[in-house]
Amino acid sequence: MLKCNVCGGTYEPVLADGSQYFHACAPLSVVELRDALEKKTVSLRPAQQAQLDAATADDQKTPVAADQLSRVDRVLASLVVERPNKRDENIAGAGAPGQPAPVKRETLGTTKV
Amino acid sequence: MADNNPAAWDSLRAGSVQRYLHGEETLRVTAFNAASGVRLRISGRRLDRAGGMSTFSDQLTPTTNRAATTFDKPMVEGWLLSVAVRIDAGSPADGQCYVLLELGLGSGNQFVPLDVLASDTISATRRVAWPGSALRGPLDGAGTVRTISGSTPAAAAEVSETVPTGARWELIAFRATFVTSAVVANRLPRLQLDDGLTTFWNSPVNINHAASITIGYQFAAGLGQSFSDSITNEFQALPANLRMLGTWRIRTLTGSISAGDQWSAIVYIVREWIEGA
Repeated sequence: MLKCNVCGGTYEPVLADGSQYFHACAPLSVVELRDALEKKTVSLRPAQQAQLDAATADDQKTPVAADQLSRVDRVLASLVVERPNKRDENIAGAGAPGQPAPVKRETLGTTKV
Repeated sequence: MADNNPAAWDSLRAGSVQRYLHGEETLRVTAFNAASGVRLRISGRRLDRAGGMSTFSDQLTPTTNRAATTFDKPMVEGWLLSVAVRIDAGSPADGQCYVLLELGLGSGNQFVPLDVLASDTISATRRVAWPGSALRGPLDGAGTVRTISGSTPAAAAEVSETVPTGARWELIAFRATFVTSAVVANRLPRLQLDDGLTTFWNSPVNINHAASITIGYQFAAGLGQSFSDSITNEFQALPANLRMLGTWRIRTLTGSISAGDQWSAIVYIVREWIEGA
């Protein structure tokens, strides 16, 4: 079992049928995205930021009921923001003859768990 | 056998299909494979200029990442009478290993293809042979059905499964368990499909998932409408016959997801074809 050093996801690199499994980090969840924006570890495109700012203003002006999604959360849920160091174990083509196929994005690697 | 006796050559070649080779050609075998432990055996027969029949037999162990693995066999002058590829080790299901037989000039990166002799998926019961096999593409067969255990995300993170490079998937069914923390809020899970950039399918569930509850979410192609068995399993529809390319993703998106919420036990069934990389 491996643990991705970027997203914390755990997985078996070889599946029960013997085939290879290629992990790729998920985009940031709403919780993670909100946290990353607060810590300024990610930034949104100008149009996305404008959308978020407008939703924030609307939430402050007219708060939604406690059992409903805020406008900010709706905007955050609509965004697909990848992790800054996203790993993707999939191969980037066949590579040179006799050489291992290059991995798309290894970044911070994995830890055996 | 006299070199200058056409009649003698004709008698040897009668009834066969063959290619005359000048001795500069290369027989290239290219394999695209996803199954473990596969080794291919390449064998064939040749008729040389002296009239002698000879055979050859070689092995190729393809990688398991669906990338092209090649084997180049220099040819000698004479007639190539037959080539056959069979499984020497391993047991790939039909659709997990695809083989291409070509004749060309040069080898390695300098290989220049001239003829395609045969191309088809290969399994323990299906050989690829020239002459005999039809030229078939890697997506022409029925594919193979696989069960895949996905990555378990960290708490408060979403599920995301990516179609591997060189594969084509048809998503048949998907299951994941979602456990909510004690934080009071109604979570709204959904399954999304995207092409790596753009989301093109959204399958929201029809229930509010409250705090401290475990529900197994099951999505299947062909379901007409959503339903649940009490509160432990929720069933939702997926598009039928949707073929997903490499880099396309299967993701959850959970409205009001909380810091202690956890997706786990991610299992899905796909029909897979080799596209090759």
